[in-house]
Amino acid sequence: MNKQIVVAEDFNVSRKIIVSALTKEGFNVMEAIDGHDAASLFDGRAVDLLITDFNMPNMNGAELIKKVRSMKKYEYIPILLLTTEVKQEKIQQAVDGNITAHIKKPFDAQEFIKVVKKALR
Amino acid sequence: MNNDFLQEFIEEAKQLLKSLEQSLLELEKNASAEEVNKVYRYLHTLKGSGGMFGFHNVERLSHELESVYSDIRDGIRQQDDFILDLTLHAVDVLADLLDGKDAEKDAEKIIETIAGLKSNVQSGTSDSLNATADALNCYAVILKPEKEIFKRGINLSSILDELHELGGCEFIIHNEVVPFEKQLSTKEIVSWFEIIVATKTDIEGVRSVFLFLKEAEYSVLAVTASEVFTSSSYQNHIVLDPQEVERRLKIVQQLAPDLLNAEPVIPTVPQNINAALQQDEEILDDSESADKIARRSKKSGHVSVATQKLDQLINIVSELVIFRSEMSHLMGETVQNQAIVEALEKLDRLTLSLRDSAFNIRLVPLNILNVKLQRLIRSVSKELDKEVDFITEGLDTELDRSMINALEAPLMHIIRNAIDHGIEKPEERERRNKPRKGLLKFYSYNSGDHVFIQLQDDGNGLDFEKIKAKGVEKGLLSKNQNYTEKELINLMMSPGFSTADKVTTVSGRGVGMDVVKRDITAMRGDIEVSTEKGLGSIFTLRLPLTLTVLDTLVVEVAKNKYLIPINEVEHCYKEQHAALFSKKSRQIKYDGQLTPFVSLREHFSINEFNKEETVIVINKNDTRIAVVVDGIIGKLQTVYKPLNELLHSADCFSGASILGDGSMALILNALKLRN
Repeated sequence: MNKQIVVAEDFNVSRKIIVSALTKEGFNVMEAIDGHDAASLFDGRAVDLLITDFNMPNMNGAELIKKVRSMKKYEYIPILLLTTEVKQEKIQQAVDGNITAHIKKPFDAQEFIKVVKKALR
Repeated sequence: MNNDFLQEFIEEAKQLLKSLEQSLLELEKNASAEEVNKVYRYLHTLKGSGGMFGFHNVERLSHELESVYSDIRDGIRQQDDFILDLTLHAVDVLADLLDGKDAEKDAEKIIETIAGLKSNVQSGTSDSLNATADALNCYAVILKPEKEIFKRGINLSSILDELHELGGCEFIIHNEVVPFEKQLSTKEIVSWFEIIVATKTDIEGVRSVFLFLKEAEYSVLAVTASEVFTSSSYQNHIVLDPQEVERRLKIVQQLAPDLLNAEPVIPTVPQNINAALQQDEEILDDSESADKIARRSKKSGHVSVATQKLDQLINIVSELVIFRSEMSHLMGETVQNQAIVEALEKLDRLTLSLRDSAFNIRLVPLNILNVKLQRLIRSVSKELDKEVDFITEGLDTELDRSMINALEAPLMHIIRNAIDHGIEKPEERERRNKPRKGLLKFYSYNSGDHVFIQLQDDGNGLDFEKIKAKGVEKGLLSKNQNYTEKELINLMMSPGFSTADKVTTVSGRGVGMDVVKRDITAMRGDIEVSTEKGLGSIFTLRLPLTLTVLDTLVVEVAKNKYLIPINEVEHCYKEQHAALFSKKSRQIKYDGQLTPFVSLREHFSINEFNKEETVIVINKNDTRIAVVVDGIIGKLQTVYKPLNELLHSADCFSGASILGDGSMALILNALKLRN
């Protein structure tokens, strides 16, 4: 079965680029337009990877990650956090020890897919 | 999806090329690993995004270049001038490719050249372990995962699997207080590892296995000699006694039998660059390096905005400024109420500061010219076999964007001249007790409404005898007369004058300083030259901050107002109408010369004249013309507005502006009045 990926990103253009890149690779992608929306997708279904933005309305990335990690089923799933360079430190503190990797925006599609595939190993 | 982002991609890729160019020039001065890495990264990004947007030629070219720089980074190849030239050339080609220009052939050529380079490396150092593609490399990995690594969504066992896939692999596990299997199942890691891997991939390939790990969690060391296990970087993690070292060497021996027999390759930084660098450092210390500025601007953050939007904003602000003058004009006479007067004053202040900030947006630092100038200096000095240090100061001085564009050509010309005619060849300089390397300084600073740019060289200075001889030869000067330096400098800047002994490709193409002068004057700027024989010259450019604010003289003709840029006005006086029009030819005698004049009343076919006329002598680019008007009303700082296309045929007006009372006035382009 194809890998299930949740993409949480409030900025439409970014989300669409990501989703289209992932779909092209044959992944099953579930889109969420904010943190709250994303959290609702973690309802016990199988999720292999979460890719999330940090700054989102209705629950930011850090809160989303915390919530996801608190559920037994998703305790160890890989999480990729999309960040911009600004406020790196603040973000680092908020999610430290909970995420697999940061992906700095803007990113290169090839690199991105490489990282996604690696996270899904 | 890609089309939507295409334009954005091109913009971004160009920005990338600029950074790349900057890094390359930096690299020439200072061959640091960090800079090589930057170049590598830029190329890498370009490759990735180029491919994503269908620029496969960009992708290919940057891929080839990237491989060259990864070789340099890994010490397989040394950075040299040839590679640098090639890469700089490639930057231009890449820019052309992004613009959709037909540069395929150039790209092919570069790729071929790189292929040639590569075969050189391979044949030259084929017995070194890194260069031969199929040889086994051996790496020692120290892996110290955090206890809670699984909480980060990282699967340690898949990382270990990945290592196995690379090739031969041997683990030494430390601190196994709990069986490792148990650690994996409870997701709590307390052990750490030494791993020896023999693989055909390079060090990056091995490092990429640990992509998600923190820097502190792992380190990868190339095993090129037995000393690796006793090196300080290894001892940071674990200190081994000789027996232990022996054990590891045995593992290496088993995994890669031939490895430690070959001579190790030690990456070196080219010595001459290093030495040159040390010399430079002192000088560079007190000058503002471009890097510093770049860092500062990074900190402050930038938004790129379409110039069109900016122009629109400026336009609106200009109109607001005009409206403000109109308001105060209207209210000023009638209003007695103190509160309204105060409010008006406040509006005054606000609009003025709004105007200033809006104009400020158009200003960009001169720094954006830096890379171009550096490249020019590099190529010109190479072509002429001269050595030049370029020092800049005040590159953060800001000027109107359009001015910076217009400045490029004249600046380049002055620099070319300075290197070609000013700075002597290295041998010549040594004979004169000067340092071999010539010095070219670029200063810029603000002063009032103006920006000053100075270009100073420590070359030979202007050769006035040569200038005079040339002037005589061209029939512009008389042999027996003495000329002041100033006169000779003026001559040098007059059209068609060029002192180069032979026409080099660099300067002396017949267009010379006269073009520079013309360009600068067109920007309402000045150029001044001071020089000392044998010591060098200084070219000083004085430029207005922006082109859109204009100081003008307001004149009146038959109740209409016209504007004349004040920097063009040379002299004003009153004269009787009869005296002016007594002769048939419309000429006045001014400064001992006959100067044509145009009566605006006559020009506009108004056949009534005042008894007393006002004559304004205008001097624009050394051409004089006098304009006869009814009178002078005053001086005014106005905002220049271009004329609508429909009015372009009326070329005796260069633009329009709105006066304080809300009425419009045209700006005279006096030179065109004659036709």
